[in-house]
Amino acid sequence: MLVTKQMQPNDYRVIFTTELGMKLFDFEFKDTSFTLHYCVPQFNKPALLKTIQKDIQILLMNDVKTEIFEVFTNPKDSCYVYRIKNNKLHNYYFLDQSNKLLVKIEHAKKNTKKTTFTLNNYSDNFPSNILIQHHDIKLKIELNLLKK
Amino acid sequence: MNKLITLVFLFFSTFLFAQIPAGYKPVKDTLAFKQKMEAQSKLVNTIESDFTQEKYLSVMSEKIITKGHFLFKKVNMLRWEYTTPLKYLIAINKDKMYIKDNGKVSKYDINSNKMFKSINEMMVNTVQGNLLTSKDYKAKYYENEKFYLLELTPLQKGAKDFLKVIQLYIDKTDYAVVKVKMIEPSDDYTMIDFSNRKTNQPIGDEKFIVK
Repeated sequence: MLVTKQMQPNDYRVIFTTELGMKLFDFEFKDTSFTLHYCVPQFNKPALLKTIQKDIQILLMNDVKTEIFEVFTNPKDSCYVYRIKNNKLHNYYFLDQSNKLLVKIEHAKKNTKKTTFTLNNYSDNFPSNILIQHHDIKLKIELNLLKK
Repeated sequence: MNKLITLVFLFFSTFLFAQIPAGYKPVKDTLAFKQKMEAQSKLVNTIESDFTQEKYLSVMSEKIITKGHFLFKKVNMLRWEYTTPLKYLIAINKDKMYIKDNGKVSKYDINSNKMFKSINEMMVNTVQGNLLTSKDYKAKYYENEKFYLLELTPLQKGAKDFLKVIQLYIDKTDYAVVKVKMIEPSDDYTMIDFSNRKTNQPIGDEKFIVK
């Protein structure tokens, strides 16, 4: 289970627990900085932590406001595509042209997709399902909204 | 001078009693209690109960509430099922463990993984109130008019990392575990309240196999 709380604008606390209540991770994302408050010893692996940290950072878009971006349109799926530089990589944010909702994020290096985020079933401008699919490692995170 | 003595006395008295939960006093004859608990647990072959789980995280203003139903059958069969707000099922059948998440079933061999083994032991022993005989915990015994309160402190290093103490609330009339509170080193906790508990009703073995 994932629990998030916005402490202040641009300051998010993100906690992962198991269904049985055991806390796995406790992260804080403030502007562009990141704090690890807790991690269960079994999962305290730098590569795993870095991957999850990056995924959530891309999703929270805390760094978006400060970056310069380019906009494209894609006639094929009627989306506005915002390209934002993220270190040496690019994040592509796909906004539906009709309702301006974020439907997809692609994290890519040159032309190779590394991670795809799919956001579905919006209600009150909030997605009910988020799927994070990594293409270079075997990791898939599926988030379903329980309560707002 | 008198004031000083009072202060010193107050300090010591707080220090001495700080460990005892409010409203409870230590159980005098712990051996008799343990024997009684063990004898009662032997009489129970099946348990069926609803539960409400409350997760408290100090940084969140709201508690996370999940609800469900569980079945237990001797020896070592447990079906632990969350129904609201999410569907999630863990079933233990002797040395097999099943997890059903989002309609997808995974099956594990409990002996293949140390963590599964300790989850299994903790869940099965908690619902039966059997943890008090375990060598992995140091036990303290308290009581009030209605309940016994067992405070179990894990002794093994692995468990200590994520668990400070387990509190078991046991009904004095039937020696049933009515509430479990698992407190983490950070003082965040998970509390499980049991309700509609029925014992020794027939439960078919097929309930502990998940497809």
